[in-house]
Amino acid sequence: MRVFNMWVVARPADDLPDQWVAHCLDLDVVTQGTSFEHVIEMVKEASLMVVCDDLAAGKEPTLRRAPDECWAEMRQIVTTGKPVSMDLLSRVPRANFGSVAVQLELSVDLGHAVRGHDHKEPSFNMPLVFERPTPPEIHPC
Amino acid sequence: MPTSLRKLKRAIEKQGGTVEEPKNGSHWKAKRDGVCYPIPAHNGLKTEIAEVYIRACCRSLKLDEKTLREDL
Repeated sequence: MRVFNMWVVARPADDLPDQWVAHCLDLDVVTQGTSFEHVIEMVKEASLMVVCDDLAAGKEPTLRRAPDECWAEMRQIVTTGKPVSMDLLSRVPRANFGSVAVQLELSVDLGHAVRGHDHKEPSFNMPLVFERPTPPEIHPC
Repeated sequence: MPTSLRKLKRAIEKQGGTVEEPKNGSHWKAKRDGVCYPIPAHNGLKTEIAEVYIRACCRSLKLDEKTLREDL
């Protein structure tokens, strides 16, 4: 069994008014969803796909790590934002939503990764962190 | 500028990648030179793909971004 603790930054999409984007920084995987809750489910699924595919091919998934400039936003959120609950986030209107940093824990059975079986459901590992809305130009990724 | 999954699929395939629809889940799988990258597809080929995704996809699959955008 191998456990991956990964950082995800999620926010409303700048260019699609009904979409949210989430970026798993440890795997440099970006995905989309129709709400905050949906994009978190999507990033769990996307991350699991990448990890399982890499492990089945004998590759190290964390070598895909996002460029340094992508991590700068996450660090800013974590150091200047405040913790919030999922329940509160689900009630925040999109227009008032900034960027959120989330820790995702992914547990993968290495033997099953090779055989392509199901894995433990990825879950949140830490409180969520929330910041005020940020303008699109400082999203480096 | 956002694009559709249909156009992105075509552009990835033009650069030697493959895009396959999965048996289950909401992501299609793009592959190029042995590297896999999930594509959000909750609306099938009509899914609108955000700009930030296109950049990350090109980075991971080592696609020529300029060429890809010309093909979108």
